[in-house]
Amino acid sequence: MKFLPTWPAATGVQGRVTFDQTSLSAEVSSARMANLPINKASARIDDLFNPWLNLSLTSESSLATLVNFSNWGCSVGGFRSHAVKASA
Amino acid sequence: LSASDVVLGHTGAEAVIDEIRLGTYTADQLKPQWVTMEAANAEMLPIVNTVTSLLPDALPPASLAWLSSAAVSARVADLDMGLSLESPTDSLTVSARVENLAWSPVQRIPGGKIRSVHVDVINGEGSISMPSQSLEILPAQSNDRAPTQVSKALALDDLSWNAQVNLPSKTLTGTLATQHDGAVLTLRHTLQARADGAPHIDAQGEFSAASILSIKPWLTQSWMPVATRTWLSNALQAGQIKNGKVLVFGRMLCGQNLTTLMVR
Repeated sequence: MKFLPTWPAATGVQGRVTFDQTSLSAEVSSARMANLPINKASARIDDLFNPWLNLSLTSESSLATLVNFSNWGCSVGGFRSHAVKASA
Repeated sequence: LSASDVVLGHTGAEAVIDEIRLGTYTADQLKPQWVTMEAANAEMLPIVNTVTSLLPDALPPASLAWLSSAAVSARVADLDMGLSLESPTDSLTVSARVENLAWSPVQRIPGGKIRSVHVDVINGEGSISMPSQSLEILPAQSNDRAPTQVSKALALDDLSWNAQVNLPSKTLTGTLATQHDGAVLTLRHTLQARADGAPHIDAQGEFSAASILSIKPWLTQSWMPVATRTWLSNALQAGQIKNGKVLVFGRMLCGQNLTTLMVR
C-alpha cells in the first residue's frame, strides 16, 4: 500500500479496514515501511467527502533504523507538514 | 368474458396477451373479481402496470416509480397469471420466465442486464430465482464525475439469486451469491415495503478476494468522491481480502443514501 506517491510503500500489511457510511478506518497489526517494522498502526478518514488521513504508527527497532526512517520522512513534504510525535 | 390476442398498452411498450379471462359474481359491480392471463412472449412493463392498477398494493410506490424512471424492459415467456380481487382476500398467482431483463441507471442506483429470471408465486407467496449467470452492471450516475470520464460496464460471473416472496407481509427474503475474478460475495437480505412506501433493506454478507486488484474496478466506479476513489485506486497496490463483511441497512429510495452501509 502506498499512501502517497512520495511516501515509501507499506508492505506485508495485516489488518482490518472498515468503511462505515462516509468514514474509513484501518487497524493494522503488522507491516513494514521503509525497512521499519510496524508493530501497530491505525489510519482513519472521518469523512470521505472531505478526506483527511490520520495515520499513527508504533514500531520497535534499532535506533539507527528509526533515525533512518525519520530522515527519510523528514525529506518528504507530506511528513513535514504534520506534527510528528515520537517516543522511545 | 374470455378474449384472445389482447394488447395491453404502455408508454413505449405493448404486450400481446394470448388469452385473458375476467369474471364477476355481482351484476352491480364493474370491477372484475378475478382475472387470468396467459402469454408465451410479451413485454413485461404493460403486464406489471395492469397488475398494479388492479392490485394497487402489490408493489410499493417507490418501486413503481423506479420501474418507470429506469425504463425497465424484459420479455415474459410462459406467463400463467391469476388475480383474485375479492377484497380483503386479494391475491396474485403467477408463474413466468422473465428474459433479457434490463434497466438503466437512475441516480446512484446502477443499471443492469440479466438473461433469465423465474417467478413462481401462489396466493401471494412463492419464489423468485435466478440461475447462475452473468450480470452486466451499468455504472450509477455520479454528481462529481467529470464529463470526460467514461465509466465502463462491469460484469459479475456466476451470479445466482434465490428469494422468497410474501406479498401479504410485503417482504422479499433471499440470498445472492457471486464470484468474479477471484472475488467471492455472499449476501443474505430482507426487503420490506414500509408504510411510507419506501422499501427497507436489511442485508448482511461475507466476501473475499484472492487479489485486491480485482476489486479496483469497483472502487473506481463507486459512490465515493473522485479524490477518494483516485487515492484508494493508487494506494492499493497488492494484497488479499479475507473474512470481509458487509452490512446494508435502511431505507432505499432513488437518490437518497441508505441509513447504514458498512464494509469491513
